[in-house]
Amino acid sequence: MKDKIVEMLNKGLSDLVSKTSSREIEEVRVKYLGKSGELTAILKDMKNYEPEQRKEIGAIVNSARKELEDKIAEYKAKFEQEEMDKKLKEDAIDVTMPAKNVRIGALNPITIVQNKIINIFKDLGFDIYDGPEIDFYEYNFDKLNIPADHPARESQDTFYIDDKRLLRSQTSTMQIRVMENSKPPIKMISTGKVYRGDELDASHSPIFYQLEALVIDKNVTLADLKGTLDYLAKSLFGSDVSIRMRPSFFPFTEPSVEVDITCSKCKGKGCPTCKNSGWVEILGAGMVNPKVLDNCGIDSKVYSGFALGIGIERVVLGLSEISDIRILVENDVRTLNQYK
Amino acid sequence: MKLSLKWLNDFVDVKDVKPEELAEKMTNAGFEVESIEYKSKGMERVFVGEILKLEKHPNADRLQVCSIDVGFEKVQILTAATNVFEGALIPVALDGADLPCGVLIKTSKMRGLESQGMLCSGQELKIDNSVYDGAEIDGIMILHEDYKLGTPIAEVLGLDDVVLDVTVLSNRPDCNSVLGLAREISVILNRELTLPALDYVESDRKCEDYIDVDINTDRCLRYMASVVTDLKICESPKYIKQRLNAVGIRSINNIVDITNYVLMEIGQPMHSFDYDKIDDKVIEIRNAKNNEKVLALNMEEYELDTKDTVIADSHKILAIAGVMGGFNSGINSMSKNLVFESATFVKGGVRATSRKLGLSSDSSNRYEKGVEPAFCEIGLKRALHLISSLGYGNICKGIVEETLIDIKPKRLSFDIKDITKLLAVEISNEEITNILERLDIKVNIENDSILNIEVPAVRNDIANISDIAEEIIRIYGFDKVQSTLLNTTSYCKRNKNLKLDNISLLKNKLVDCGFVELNTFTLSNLDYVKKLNLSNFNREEVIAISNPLNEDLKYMRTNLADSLLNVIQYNERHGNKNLQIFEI
Repeated sequence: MKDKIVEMLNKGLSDLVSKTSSREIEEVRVKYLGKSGELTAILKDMKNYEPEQRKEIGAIVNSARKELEDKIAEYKAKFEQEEMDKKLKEDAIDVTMPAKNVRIGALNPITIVQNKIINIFKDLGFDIYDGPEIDFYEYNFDKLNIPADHPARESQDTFYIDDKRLLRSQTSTMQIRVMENSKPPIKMISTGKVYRGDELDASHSPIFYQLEALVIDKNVTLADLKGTLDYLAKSLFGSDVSIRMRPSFFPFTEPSVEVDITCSKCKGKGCPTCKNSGWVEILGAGMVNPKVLDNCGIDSKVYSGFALGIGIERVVLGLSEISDIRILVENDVRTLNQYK
Repeated sequence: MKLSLKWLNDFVDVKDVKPEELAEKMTNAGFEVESIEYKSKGMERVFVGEILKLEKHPNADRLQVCSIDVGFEKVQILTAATNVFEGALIPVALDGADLPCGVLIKTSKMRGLESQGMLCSGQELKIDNSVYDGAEIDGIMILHEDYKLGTPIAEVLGLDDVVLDVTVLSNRPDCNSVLGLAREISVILNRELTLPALDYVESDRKCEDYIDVDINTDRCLRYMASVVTDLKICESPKYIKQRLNAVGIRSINNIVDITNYVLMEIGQPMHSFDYDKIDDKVIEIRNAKNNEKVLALNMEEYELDTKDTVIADSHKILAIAGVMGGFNSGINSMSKNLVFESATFVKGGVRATSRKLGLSSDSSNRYEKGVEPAFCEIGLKRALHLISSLGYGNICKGIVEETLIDIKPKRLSFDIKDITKLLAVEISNEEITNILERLDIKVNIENDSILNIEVPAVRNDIANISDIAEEIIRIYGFDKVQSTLLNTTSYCKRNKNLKLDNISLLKNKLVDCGFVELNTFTLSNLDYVKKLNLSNFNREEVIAISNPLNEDLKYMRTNLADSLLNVIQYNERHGNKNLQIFEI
């Protein structure tokens, strides 16, 4: 019996040597160690032996089985590794691997806010115009009812190019250009860079962005301005903000107002950000001064309108935790990547 | 503009209105209050007390034990000061006082004895001799007048005042004064306005015998002069000093103080010349000559040209008009007679001279904002009233003046419907009348529909229907305007802006490809031409700014590469690698 088992083991081991794949190794395992395998059959037959014999044969069978099992496992592992390597080589694309990092850039925060406001006004049916940064005195001053001795005209406030042209100090120049070139009704916005003689510091920049809106039609009222401002503020800063109009003065609008919104930090209760007033100033607006309409060939007896101007940087700062405008011209990509 | 509420109370009674509440109402009516300054801050628990008894501390050589009466209670306070004595009146800080110097006072024990407060020095109250004579002495401030025990020290020092910092809009120069703001506040609060007293006693001498005025420039619209003889130069009364001090003006002497007082109260810059230093009894207002020199009150010499305006006699310059008086024509303690100047110089002229010389004063600042000619007379009469009522000299009869423009009210007419339509509010004719008349605008409504108004000469800002609509709505209240979303506006044809659409598209594509959008300055210097080796660069094509902030912001850039390279350099230095950037 003992010889038979040894013979069986040697046969099994030599069987393994000639095999070339894990599948064939598995066949060998089934042949000897499977449910109806040859070695298994001997073990099943054990009950027919005397206890003395049973003990002796059992030990031999078990050690043979152990040896064969180990050898099979060894071969199996070897072939499986080879086959995996082969498979990996053949299937270069592995769909189960985690995705590679795709780099996405970022729009400038200025552009993001511009787009937000443009979309708000688009929803209200406004046209969008763009215009020149270099403009004539008359568009930047005269036709906007800014008198010849107004401080804004001084050389420390406005950049001049020659005796006719300057770098616009406000996007209101576009109001004049549109009013001169189209008939009411007018509903327009325009946005872009403006220039003023301020040194760069935490709250000033010689170059900054404005967005201008203008409506001219019959029967446009102060209530329409208030409604539009309210819609703009809520769309931009959230539906829980309310607005306050304070009397102000701009030569091109009358009545003129400064518009405040409830302070986002304290919800109107008063905090250092809003100097304890509960309000934060966001823009200037007003009903278009009849003189300006007349300057542009629009009959102020028939038409009225409103205009508003927003400093884009101020909105960017208002929507973020930044309080220094210089960060917006520093162009550190780590900062820029945070606005999305 | 700084507004003292004590001063304001002369014209409109706001004693029962909280400063914070007043500030909010003013802000809502177009006079933004930037800050509220309590002059008595830190002195709330400091009172006048009398030292009843002074004894040595049994356990400390340097300390004295004071028994003090502060009127409403008696306290024991220990002090190391040596200048105190029995019967002295002193400022006493009681338990809980949070002094202007930052010290918090608490009842405490020193060497076994209780001290229930502190005796204050001027330094601890942060005041100097200009506030109270003797405040700067080393030791406790001894009060040298009789006060009721328990009087708050702020009252004694004239610091029981609140000062509002008010932003006056540039179209309302008539409100750069206590009186101007008082009128607005009387309208806002619907209260009575008391006008300043302008009466004075004249002597038999005629002003015209003393002086003649001659305007020979278009930069002066009105010049009024008045002569005061038998001048008494002295210190100003306490209330004038305290009020000037509250708004940041140092007291000099009674005459200088009166000109400053009138400037702040009425808004009219005034100047006083020593009459005896004027040659040939004539004051000429003329353009300066080229290279003409003048020694100003600040002891600096200035060289002028024909764009500057001067006040001169037959030989010399007396003052740079509206900016600063001349050193040789000014009042000093020896002056016997004076000439008051109350004039209107055009703002552009004063501003140009002030900028060119780098010289400004309270007077030039006011002229730059615009002073209406109608104020000349009120200002001058107010100054003469103060001279007369305080007994500082004899006022010559009459005023010598030359006026080159008409000063009269403006008459305008509007259809009330047009006003209410623009404002979109229901407001009664009575309410409109009430608001406008309180603003000193005369109103006459015809047939319930036509608004005829007469606007005072000082209100240069009111010219058309929108101006009057603004006057009404800012008092009536912007909060009463409803919100409508362009419900009457016609449909507008959408004008496609392809250029902007395409730029937006391009930006988004670039961002999708990993690029970060920059925002760099469009102005630069021309260093990049060399740096980028731009061989076909044509300097003629570059647009230059004629008045740049600095050389680095002088030219409109002609390419973006330089800006991007600068950004790369900045980011590399800050450790940002693998940059993908763009700007359009």
